[in-house]
Amino acid sequence: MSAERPAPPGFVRAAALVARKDLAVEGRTRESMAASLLFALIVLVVFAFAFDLDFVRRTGVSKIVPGMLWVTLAFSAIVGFNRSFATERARDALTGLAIAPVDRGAVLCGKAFANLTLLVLLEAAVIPLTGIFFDVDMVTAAPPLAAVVLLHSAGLAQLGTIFGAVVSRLGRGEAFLATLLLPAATPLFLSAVHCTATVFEGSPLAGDAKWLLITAGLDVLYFLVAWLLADAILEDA
Amino acid sequence: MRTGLNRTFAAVLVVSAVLIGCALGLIFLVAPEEKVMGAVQKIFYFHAWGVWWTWEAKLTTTLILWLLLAGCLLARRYAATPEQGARIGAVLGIVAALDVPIVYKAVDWWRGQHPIVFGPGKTNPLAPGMSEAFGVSMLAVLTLYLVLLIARIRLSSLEERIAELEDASGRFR
Repeated sequence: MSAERPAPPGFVRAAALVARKDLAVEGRTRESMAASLLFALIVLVVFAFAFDLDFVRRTGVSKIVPGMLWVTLAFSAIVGFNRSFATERARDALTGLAIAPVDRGAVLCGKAFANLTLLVLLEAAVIPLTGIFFDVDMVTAAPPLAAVVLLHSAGLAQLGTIFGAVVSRLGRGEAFLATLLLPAATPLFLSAVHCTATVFEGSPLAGDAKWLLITAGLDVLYFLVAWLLADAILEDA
Repeated sequence: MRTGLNRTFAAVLVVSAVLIGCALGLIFLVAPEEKVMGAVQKIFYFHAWGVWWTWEAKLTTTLILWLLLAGCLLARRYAATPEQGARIGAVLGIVAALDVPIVYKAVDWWRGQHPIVFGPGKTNPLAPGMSEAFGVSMLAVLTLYLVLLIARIRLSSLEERIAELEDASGRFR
């Protein structure tokens, strides 16, 4: 009997399965993407009212736009992270995931990877839009900007997944997720805004090696924290 | 266990009071006066910077730490059961602790108004008399923290006891 039962998947495969499930759900419903993208658009328009183009040009694009861009991304990412666990709450799917015979760290990492993929898709839409709205040349800045954005998004998605799981466990909504995530992600945002400004100035990224190194370290740290705390987070109360 | 806690509380309270007394004595009688600001500097920190708040690296990172810990307390309150609250509070506490090394390194990474005091190649910069006052003050504040912590633990265990009693009386009503 036991010979016919397939062995439970290992860490990487379990994480890949969870990520694929999340992305398949999103691919069919497009709920999270639609919600975060629309929200990002609204935040950008609000910024455009707050700082008109003349003011942005006079002050210098690299002084204002990086901050605006990352505030927009942070706010709309929170909408996405929240969705990621809202779907699991329906019919208590999260409990199903938590009792699956796989490493719970793999479940969180799979969800983090799915969140990262969605975040990158969101950024692929929001960053060109920011370029158009605030007259920034995103085409020449594209390769270094992509590296900066990807490095910082990885940490953000990992943290967002940890806090998304915590908030969904507590049965609280987006406001509480923002309360937890925004201060915790401050080191990431500081570095992200600084590196993005460097890219917009057209300076080489090598000057920011220290920032990028700290961020890479944080990415690894957040991954380890998610992995180590997964049991405590997903365990059923 | 409750009487043990009470005894520990009393002991730490006495140690803390003595240490605070010693610290005050060292600060006002032993430690030398600041050259420019004089005696006022011993009790007056606002005076040193001339503003109530500034977005200085160490202040800002500490504020962020406070916000994280406030989130921790909220999470404990929001939890459905005390056990869930304790676990999730612990998870958030661990994530918040990641900010502590950043607070410490803030003065090195973003030069602000705080001087870099400790580091490679730096000898003890405190004047004789100041070192002792600093060390004893540090200990005094640590024991004061212990006093507050134990007081909070006692309060929680009393709250638990009341909840238990209410439960029991409800069951037999």
